[in-house]
Amino acid sequence: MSETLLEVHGLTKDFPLDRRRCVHAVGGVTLAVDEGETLAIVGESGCGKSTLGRMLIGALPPTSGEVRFRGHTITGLKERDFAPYRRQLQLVFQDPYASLDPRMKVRDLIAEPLVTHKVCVTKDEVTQRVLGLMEAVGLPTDYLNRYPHQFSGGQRQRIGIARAIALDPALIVCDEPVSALDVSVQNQILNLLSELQERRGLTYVFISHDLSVVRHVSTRICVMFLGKVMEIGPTEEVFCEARHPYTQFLLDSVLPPDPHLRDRPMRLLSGEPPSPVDPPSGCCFRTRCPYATERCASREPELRREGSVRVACHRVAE
Amino acid sequence: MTHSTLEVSHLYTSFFTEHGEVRAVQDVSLAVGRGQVVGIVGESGCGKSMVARSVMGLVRKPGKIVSGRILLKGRELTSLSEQELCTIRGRDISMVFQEPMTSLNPTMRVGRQVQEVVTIHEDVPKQEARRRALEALGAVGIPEVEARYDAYPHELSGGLRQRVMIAMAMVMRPRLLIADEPTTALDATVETQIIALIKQLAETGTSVLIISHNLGVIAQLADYVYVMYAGRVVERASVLDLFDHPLHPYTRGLLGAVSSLRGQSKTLQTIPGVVPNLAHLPAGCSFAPRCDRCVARCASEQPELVTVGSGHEVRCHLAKGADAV
Amino acid sequence: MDPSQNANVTSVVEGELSLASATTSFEEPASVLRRLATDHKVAIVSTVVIVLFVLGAVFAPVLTPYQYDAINLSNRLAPPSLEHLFGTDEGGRDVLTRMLYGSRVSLVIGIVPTLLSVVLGTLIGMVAGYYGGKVDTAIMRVADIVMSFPTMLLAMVVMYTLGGGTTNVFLTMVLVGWSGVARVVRAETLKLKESEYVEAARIIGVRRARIILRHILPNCLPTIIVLFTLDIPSSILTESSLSFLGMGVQPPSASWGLMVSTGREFLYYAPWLCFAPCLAIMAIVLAFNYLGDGLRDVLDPHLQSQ
Repeated sequence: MSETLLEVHGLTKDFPLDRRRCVHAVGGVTLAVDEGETLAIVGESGCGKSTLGRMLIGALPPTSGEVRFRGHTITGLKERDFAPYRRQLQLVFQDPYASLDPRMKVRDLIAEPLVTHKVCVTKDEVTQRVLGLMEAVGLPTDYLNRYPHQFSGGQRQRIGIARAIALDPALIVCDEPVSALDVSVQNQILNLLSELQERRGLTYVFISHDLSVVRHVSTRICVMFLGKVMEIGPTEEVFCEARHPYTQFLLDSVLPPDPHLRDRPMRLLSGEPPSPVDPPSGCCFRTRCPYATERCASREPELRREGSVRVACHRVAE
Repeated sequence: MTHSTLEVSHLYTSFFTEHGEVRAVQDVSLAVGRGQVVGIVGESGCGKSMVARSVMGLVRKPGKIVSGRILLKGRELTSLSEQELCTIRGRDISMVFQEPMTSLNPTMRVGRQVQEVVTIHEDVPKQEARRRALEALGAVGIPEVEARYDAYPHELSGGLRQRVMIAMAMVMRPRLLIADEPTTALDATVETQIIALIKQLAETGTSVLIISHNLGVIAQLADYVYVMYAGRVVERASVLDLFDHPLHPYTRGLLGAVSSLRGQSKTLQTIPGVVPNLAHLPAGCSFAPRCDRCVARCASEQPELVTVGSGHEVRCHLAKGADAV
Repeated sequence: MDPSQNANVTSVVEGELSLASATTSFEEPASVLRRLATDHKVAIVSTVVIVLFVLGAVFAPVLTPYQYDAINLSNRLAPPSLEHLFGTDEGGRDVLTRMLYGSRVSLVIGIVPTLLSVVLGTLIGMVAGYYGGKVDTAIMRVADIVMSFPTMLLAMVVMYTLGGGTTNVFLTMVLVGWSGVARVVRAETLKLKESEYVEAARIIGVRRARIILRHILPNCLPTIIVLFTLDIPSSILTESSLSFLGMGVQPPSASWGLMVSTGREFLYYAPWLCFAPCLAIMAIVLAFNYLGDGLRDVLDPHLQSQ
């Protein structure tokens, strides 16, 4: 097994709503990311996956818990002490429209990380590096002086990726990198990401709600619900034999692009999503779980190892 | 298909901008029969939503229907005034939009919003309107209807809001429901619920025109599928035909892209290049620049939609039957 | 809502067509002018009016054969004629000449203090907005207090304690003017701070000062330009009011407000003394207002679709 690159312990994040209440976005996540792997974090909107992703790269301070990068604790560091880790931990955004400053040219956008971290000194050097990066992500180099609005969504996402890899990071969190893109373009970006991973030995944390994408790109998968990890394990294993009831529902909700499968019975999740302000007692999924018992309401299930998978469910533990 | 609920023939819709005419919809013909679910699939900018807006008479300036006929149960819609269209919208045709958050009035209780649709179209006592609104909300699977009736949109989850939207669309029992990306903004588990609901509606005799970029949604719902690219219909077939025997290179590309995600190969299938700019379309086939089977003729001559099998039409020079020319 | 959707052009079609070619770039002044010319003809007329006023002020000595302070008592209160287009005043001075010279004062006082307060307000607003917390609270309380003061009253207090004259008019106007600008810029900064591209810059490791200068300021600029053009008329009016009340520019210097003030005494038998400068004030104020409105429509991406 390869080495652990990033570990998090008991990571929580609460966003205060007013004086009394707060949104429990992430509630005690412990996991590790191995060097060179792609760990997918899946879950529905509001499950805390993006918040977790931001905390992993130190872009958002956790309420409690710690993040360790190659054994060094990086939570609570001062800006100056954090700077070397900044280069190692990068993010690709979901929305290629909103994440690029509309008033900057492509050359300045891609040069920004290089200039900020003084990787290149002379202007020529910067331009050379920018051109190299544009080539690496498949952008025509004669577009150097264009503005973001002159590009299509897919090309903009390439600019975002070029910015992320400019500093040769060890880990990139990809936050829904293809969900704003069309099907045909989506695959171009996914191919680019896997090509870059191979060539540069990158480690990805891939946040997505699209399970078919996740199945293709990831080596391990982490299923989240209401800020907590429900199940985590090797992708194929989770897809073939989901243990947690929520994972099962999630997998069942994938619509196969095959009309021959349309009359299979659909399993529909009942009830309404619980509120992250006032989560249910015990297991947070119990209000929607068809197998819930009294024990689920009284005690929160721990993540327990089941073979190579870890699951947080009382039912599985038996 | 003699009594189609909706028949669109040779529809052209354009936008007249300072950069010239942008042809959003070109020569689109389609028919939706009673109780049928017809899907339009395509990527962003292909004009699929514009077809829906044209049918609803909701094309905004500087856009305009240039020519073509839209028949609802035999009644021509393109020549109607705005006032006449208002009596048809919501009663005979309704539309469900992608964003259940922005399509509801945030300051009005959801029940009242459904009730309002009834009172706009029919002169009924308030009690009766309320009863029908409650019935519609119940029919779309909203639990504890009486309590939800007085809720404000922000108090409901995204899935419930979309159900309210569908209730508003269905309360007058329209003949045709147009659903424009009805599940795109929703979570996967909610998406399956909404799809099951739309299926149910179709079974009770409502015709549905569903617009989506998601081939999964189309495969699950549609009986007939129109594939659009750069403003034109490039292929039309029954859902089984289309997924089993796609003929147009673009359709093949789309299906290939989606199915390769499920395959074993490390490299995913893609369609090279980008969608053409609608203000500067190529002279010949608009897909030619991205097509791997493009021949000389494709670049110069716009292909016609030709029938290649029973109910299967394709707009490609290379399709069988088209070669006979 | 995210503020940076300006790149998402031709929203008329609501997400259906994203035309990469339809450049709504606010970058080039030429394109701004072109869009003003197509959709906001009044703004173009206004620009012409403003340019004419500026030219008049600059070339005043060339445009008129008279001196603005040359007293000619034999020709007092002469009505408009070919010789004196707007007549003469109580000292026999040519009104048009005095208006041309007066426009120097009015335009300078309209533009310079406004520019200063916009620069000051922008800096303060961006710092308050970006740093937040106590800095923000402190700055905004001060701004609130300044804003809650009636402008004219505050101006009068300053003028009484420090005396009249152009410099003090400047001072007063900057003292009051920055607070409104700071508020708007702060709000804009708060919005931009939450935008994804600012977050993206932070994740890359860009320092605060640079984020403010490279990302926040350029994206605030359209708002600031509009604010500037809309603040100029109120500055011109403030100056006029102060001079009218005898606390601004002192005679024999000419300023429009002063001219209205002195002309008031002769309103019945020499109305041109009052009307001519009044019309000038009205014209320039309207021109700047319309230009500001036009610029707002062209530069603000959120208003574009409507």
